Amino acid sequence: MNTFNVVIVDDHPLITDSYKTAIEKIFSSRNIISKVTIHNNLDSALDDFKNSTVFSEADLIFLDIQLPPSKDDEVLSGEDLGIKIRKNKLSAKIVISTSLNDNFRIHGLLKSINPEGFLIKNDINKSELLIAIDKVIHTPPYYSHTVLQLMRDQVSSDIVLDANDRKILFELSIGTKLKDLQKVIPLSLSGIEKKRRNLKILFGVEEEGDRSLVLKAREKGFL
Amino acid sequence: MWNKITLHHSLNSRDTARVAESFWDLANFFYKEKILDSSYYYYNVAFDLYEQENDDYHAARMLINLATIQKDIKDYQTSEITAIRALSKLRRLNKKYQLYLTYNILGVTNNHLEQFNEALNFHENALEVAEDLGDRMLQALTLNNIGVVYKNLEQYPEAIRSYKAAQGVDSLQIKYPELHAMLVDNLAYARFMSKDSINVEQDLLRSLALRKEIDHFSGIATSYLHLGDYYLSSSDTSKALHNYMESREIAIDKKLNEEFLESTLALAKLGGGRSQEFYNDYIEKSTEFLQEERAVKNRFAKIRFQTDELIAETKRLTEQRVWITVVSVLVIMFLLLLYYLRVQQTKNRALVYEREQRIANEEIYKLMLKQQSRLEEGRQQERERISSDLHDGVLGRLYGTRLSLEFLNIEMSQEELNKFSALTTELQKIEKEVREISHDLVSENFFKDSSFVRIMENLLEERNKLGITTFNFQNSPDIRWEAINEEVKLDLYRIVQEATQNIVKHSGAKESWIAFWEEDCKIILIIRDNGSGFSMGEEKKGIGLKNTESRIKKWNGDFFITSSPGQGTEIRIELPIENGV
Repeated sequence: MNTFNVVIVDDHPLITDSYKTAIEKIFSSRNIISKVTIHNNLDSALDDFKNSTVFSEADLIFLDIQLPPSKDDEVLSGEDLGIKIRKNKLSAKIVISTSLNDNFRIHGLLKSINPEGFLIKNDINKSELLIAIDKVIHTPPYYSHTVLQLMRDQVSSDIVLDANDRKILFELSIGTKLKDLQKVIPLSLSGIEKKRRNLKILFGVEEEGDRSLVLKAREKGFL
Repeated sequence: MWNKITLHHSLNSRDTARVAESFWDLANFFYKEKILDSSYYYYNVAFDLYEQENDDYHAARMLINLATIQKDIKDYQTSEITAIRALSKLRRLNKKYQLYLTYNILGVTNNHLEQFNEALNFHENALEVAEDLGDRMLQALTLNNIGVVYKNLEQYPEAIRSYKAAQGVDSLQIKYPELHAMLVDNLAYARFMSKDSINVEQDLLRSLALRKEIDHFSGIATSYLHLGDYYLSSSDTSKALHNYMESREIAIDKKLNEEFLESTLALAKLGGGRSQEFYNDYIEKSTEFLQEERAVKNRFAKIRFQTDELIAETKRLTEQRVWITVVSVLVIMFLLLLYYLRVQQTKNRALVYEREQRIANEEIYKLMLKQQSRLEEGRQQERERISSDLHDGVLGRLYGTRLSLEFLNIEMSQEELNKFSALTTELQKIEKEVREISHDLVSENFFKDSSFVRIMENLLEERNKLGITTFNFQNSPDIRWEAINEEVKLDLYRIVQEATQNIVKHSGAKESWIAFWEEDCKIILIIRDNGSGFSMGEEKKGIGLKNTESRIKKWNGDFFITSSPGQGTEIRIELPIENGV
C-alpha cells in the first residue's frame, strides 16, 4: 500500500478542506491511502519544512501565494517557500493555487518556482480541480485557463522582456512615480529611463506619459 | 495814466524798442504839459535806449526833441550841439522832415547866438528841404525865420522880401494863425525900421488884434512893444507909455522874461518919474533871470546823467525778473519730479501688489491642489483597502465556499443537480466580478490627472448636492492639465464656479453640462444649461460675466455666449495653449 503524501498550505480552511476532500476522493477510488497535512500559515509550514520530513516525503504540495509573512520574515509569501522547496531539490510536485491573476506575478511565479500545476483559484470548479490533480500526478503540467492564456499571449508576441522590463511595467501600472522606481529596480535613474523609452518603442507607444504604455502592455498580456 | 502802465509793461517785456517808445510818449506828454525837466529826462532815456539799439533814426528824433527843449530853456549852445549830432545821424538817412526840423533848430539857435550867417545858411538848407517836401507851411515858417535873421542883421529890405514871400503862402491865416499874425507884425515892424510908415500902425494893430484872438500872449506882448516903439518914433509918448505898460503887464502876468525885460527897459528909457524904478527893476530882473536860466541849464545837464540810473535800474529789475523766472521754473521742475516719482512709486506699488496677488493666486491654487491630493490620497487608500479586502478576503472565501459546496455529497435529482451546477457556476461568475471590481478600484486611478479634474468634479458634486440643477462633467483625456499654468487653472475654476452659481440661482435649469476638450491648440470649455435663458442684448453684463470676460482676456482667450428665452444658455470659452499657458 502506497501512501500518497500531500501538503496543503493555504490560510482559508474552506479551501484546504475542499482540496483535502478532492484528494481523498481521487485516491479512495484507487485504494491508495492519502495523507494530507494542512498548514494555515507560513510559520507552521516553515517549521515542518525545517524540522520534519513532511515536506521531504511529500508527493504533492499545494501552495497558496498570498499568505502573511512568517515571523522574522524568513519567508514573505508562498513564493519564497516554493523557492526553498525547489532549492532543497525535494521530489514533491508543486501546485500553485492562488487568486492572483496579474500576468506579471504569474510570469514571475512560473519562472521562480516552475510549478507542475498552476491553478488560478477562481478559474476552476470541482471537476476541473479533480482533473488538474490527476494530471499533475500523472502527466504534468496542468495550468488553469488564465495561465494558459498568458503563456499564449507571451509566446505569440515578438516582444521579449527581461525581468527589469517587467518590473518597470508593473511598477508603472501601480502608479509608482519615476523617481521612486529607483528604489525598487536595481538600475540607475538613467538606466530606468532608457528602459522605459525602449519599452515604449517595443510596444509601439507614441503618446507621452505611461498610461498608454501600461494599457498596451496589459493588452499584450504582460500585465 | 496808461503810459505809465505801458512803461511798466514794457519794462517787464524787456523789449528795448517798446520801452524807448514808452519813454518817448511819456516825454511828449510832459512836454505838452510844459513840465520840461521830466520831458527832457524821458527824451534822454529814450535816446540812450535807441543808441543802445543802434537805431539812428529814432535816436536822431530824440536828439531833435532834446535840442528843442534846450532851445526852449535858452541853452542855445547845447541846443546847437545836440542839433548837429542829430544832423550827422540824419545825413545817412532819407528822413526829410526830421532834416528840416534839425536845420530849423540850427537856424534858430544860431540866430540867438548871433551867428547870423550860419543861421541864414541853415535856414536856406531848411527851405530847400521844405521845398523838396512840397510843404508850403514849412516854407512859410522858414521864410519867416529868415526874415528875422535879416532883421537882426538890420538888412530890412531882405527881411521884408522874406516876410512877403512867407505871406504868399495861401490859407496861412486859417492853418497857422500864429505865424500869420507874426508875419504881419514882423513885416510891419521891418517896414517901420526901414523908415517906411505906410500902413505900419494898421498892420501892427491888426497883428495885435489877431494875436488877442488866438491868445498868443508872448505875441501880444511883442505887439504892444512894437506899437510902443512906433508911437515913440512918432513922439506920441503917452501912447508909447501905454503900450509899453500893456506889454509889461502881460509879461508879468504870463511870466514872459524876455518881453518883460524889453518892455521894462523901454519904459526906463522913456524917462519920467519912474525911470529909475524901471532901471532898477530891469537890472534886478535880468540878473535874476540869468541865474534862473543858469540853474535850469545845470539841472538839465544833471538830468542827462540821471537817465543812466534809470537804465541801470531797469536792467537790475529785468535781471531780477530773470532770476525769479529761473527759480520758479526750477521749483516747478522739482515739483514735477516729485510728482513723477510719486506716480512711479504708486505704479511700483501697484506692480508689487499685482505680483503679490499673482503669488497669492498661485498659492491658493496650490493649496487647492494640496487639499485635493490629500482627499485623493485618502480616497486612494480607501480604495486600495477595499480592493485588497475584496481580493484577499472575499474572493478567497467565495472560492472556498463554492468548492466546498461543490464537494458536498448531497443526494439530489438530476434536475436539482442541474440547478446546483448552474448555481455554482453563477458563484464562479460572481467571483470573477468581485475580482474585476477589486481590480478596477485601483487600476485607473494613477492615470487621471487627479488634481484639476478632481477639483472640477468636486465642485460640481457640491453643486449637485443642492438638488436644483444636475451638473454633468466631461473632461477630454487628451488635455494635459499638468502642463498648464496654475493661474490659468485657477481662473477656469473660478469661471466654472461663477457660471454654475448663476445657473443655479437664475436659470432654473434642470440640467447643465460642463465639458473641457482640446481643439486646434486651444482648450475649449463649454457650459451649457437648459434653463430659462435670456434675450441677447439685455443688460447681461453682470459682475460675474464681467469677471469672466476679464479673466479670459488676461489669457488672450475668446468668450462667446448665446442664449434665447426659454432655450437655455451656452457659454463657450476658448483659451489658446501656448508655451506659457
